[in-house]
Amino acid sequence: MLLDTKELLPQHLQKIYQMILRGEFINENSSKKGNNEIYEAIVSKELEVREYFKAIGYILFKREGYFYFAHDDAPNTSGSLERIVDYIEIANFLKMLDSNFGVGYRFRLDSVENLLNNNIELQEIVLKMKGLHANTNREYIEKLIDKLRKDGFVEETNATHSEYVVLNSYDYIESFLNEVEIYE
Amino acid sequence: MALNKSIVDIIQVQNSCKSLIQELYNYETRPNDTMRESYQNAKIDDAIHLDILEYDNIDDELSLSPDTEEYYKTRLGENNDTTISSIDEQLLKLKNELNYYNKRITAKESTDKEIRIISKILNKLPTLLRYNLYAITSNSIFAFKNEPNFEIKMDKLEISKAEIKQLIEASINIDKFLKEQQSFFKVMNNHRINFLILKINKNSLELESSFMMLYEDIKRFINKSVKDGKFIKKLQKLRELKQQHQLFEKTDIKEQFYKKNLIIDSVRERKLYPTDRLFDYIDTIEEIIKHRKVELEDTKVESDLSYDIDEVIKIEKVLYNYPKLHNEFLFQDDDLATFLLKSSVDKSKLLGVFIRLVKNYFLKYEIETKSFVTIDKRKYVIVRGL
Repeated sequence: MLLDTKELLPQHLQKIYQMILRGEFINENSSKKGNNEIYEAIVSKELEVREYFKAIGYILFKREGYFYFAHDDAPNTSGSLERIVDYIEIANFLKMLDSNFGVGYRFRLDSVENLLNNNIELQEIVLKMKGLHANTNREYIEKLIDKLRKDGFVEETNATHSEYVVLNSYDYIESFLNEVEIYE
Repeated sequence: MALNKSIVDIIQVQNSCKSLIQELYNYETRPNDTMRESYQNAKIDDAIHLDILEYDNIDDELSLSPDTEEYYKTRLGENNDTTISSIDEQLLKLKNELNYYNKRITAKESTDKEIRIISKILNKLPTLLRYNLYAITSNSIFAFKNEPNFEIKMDKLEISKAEIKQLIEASINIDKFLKEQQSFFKVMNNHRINFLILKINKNSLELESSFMMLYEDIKRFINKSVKDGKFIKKLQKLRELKQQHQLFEKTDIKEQFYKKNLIIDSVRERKLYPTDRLFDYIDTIEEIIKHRKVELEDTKVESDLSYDIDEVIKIEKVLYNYPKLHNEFLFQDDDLATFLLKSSVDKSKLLGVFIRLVKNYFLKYEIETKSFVTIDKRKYVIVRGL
């Protein structure tokens, strides 16, 4: 297939490529400067973007409200598997903290901390969780949210009040874990 | 000191305490000493005596009496307590009053008192239905959106489910009772009462769509919550297997991980996961709604009660929200008659609604006196928004 990349803006292609290299999700509900613009650019030229990046070894995946890329020939590493396995405990913790936690959920650090302070069962779970060691509930919540932010699943919407929103890409984690079959 | 309880006394005491009532409404309880010092003109002891306020002598605190709190909550639209049983109580009272009316007629005595009570009850019934509907809506939405604990959320939604079922039944009972008593009301031939019955019938039709909307919302809430519940259970099981180092052995997580490209190649519809419990619920509600539709169809049949035409016009008037229609008209391109034809306005009322809108808002309309649009063989002058 002949690629007509004239219709794609070069700056979009450059940004998309940078996002691929960083392994980032492209979210529709992100308010970060430029992210929504890239999402819209891909939506309007999805076929072209897909073909363009396929030629250089990346596959574009589309989900509800977000895109992401994967390398077409590189096998998934055990490190990546471990990363998603870690999310079993994180997703479980967040759902137990507030069963409403999911895509589009808005929260403040204070309110999440309060929920943890009032839940003895969850405080015990936190103590047994690997990877995120903290001395206080507040510190634990801060580290957890920071991990979610770095992995591209939440975004800060108000720095003054430490307010966050769960991005559409969090659906990737929930859908993946929902797909896993447990042998009885 | 013995108080002579009269409505004037109660109002005076309440007025003297209005700032205190406001503070107690916001804070639930406040220290007795501080309040007496802050509100020296308030007749606090009289208010306690009249059950407007309550005094807790153990904590030395003041609070609103449950009656006062309920009164203000209801007036402010913040009362989320459902009182569905009171609808049945009112219906029973209505039955008794009709009985007394009958006895007085037979004894050739005055029926003024009974008529007044019957009117009062008939007037109160739609309000009670509506308050309860608001309360159930508010409770179910709050449980769904704000309740973090899954078990409590499901319990609360179950309660809402039971309550809407009760409310629909109560509404059906009212319709049924009024239909059964149709011939009685006909003989009674009281225009005020006939008007109130007509109002209830019209309200039933409005409530029908509200019931359906609430039913759809709760169905969605439960579907979503059941899906969340299944996911929470799955996460807990996966976590357990992970802790027992059996995750890779007892699940296909590895396979899923390596072949995920195939699975997530395209956008999938979000699935709902109904359970047997959910089916039970939906079937019951659907049965009730079906039954209610039949009942309502019956009430749509032309009534042979006689009405005061002015009272009927009053009801017809409130059926259309003219400011809303006017605003909607301004934000579209059709002329007024075509717009009304396309909107939800009853075709037979089109001319009346057209005239009323032009009369009310002619300053904001441009009327093309020489152009017409014909609807149902009737010519309507072209009217557009300025």
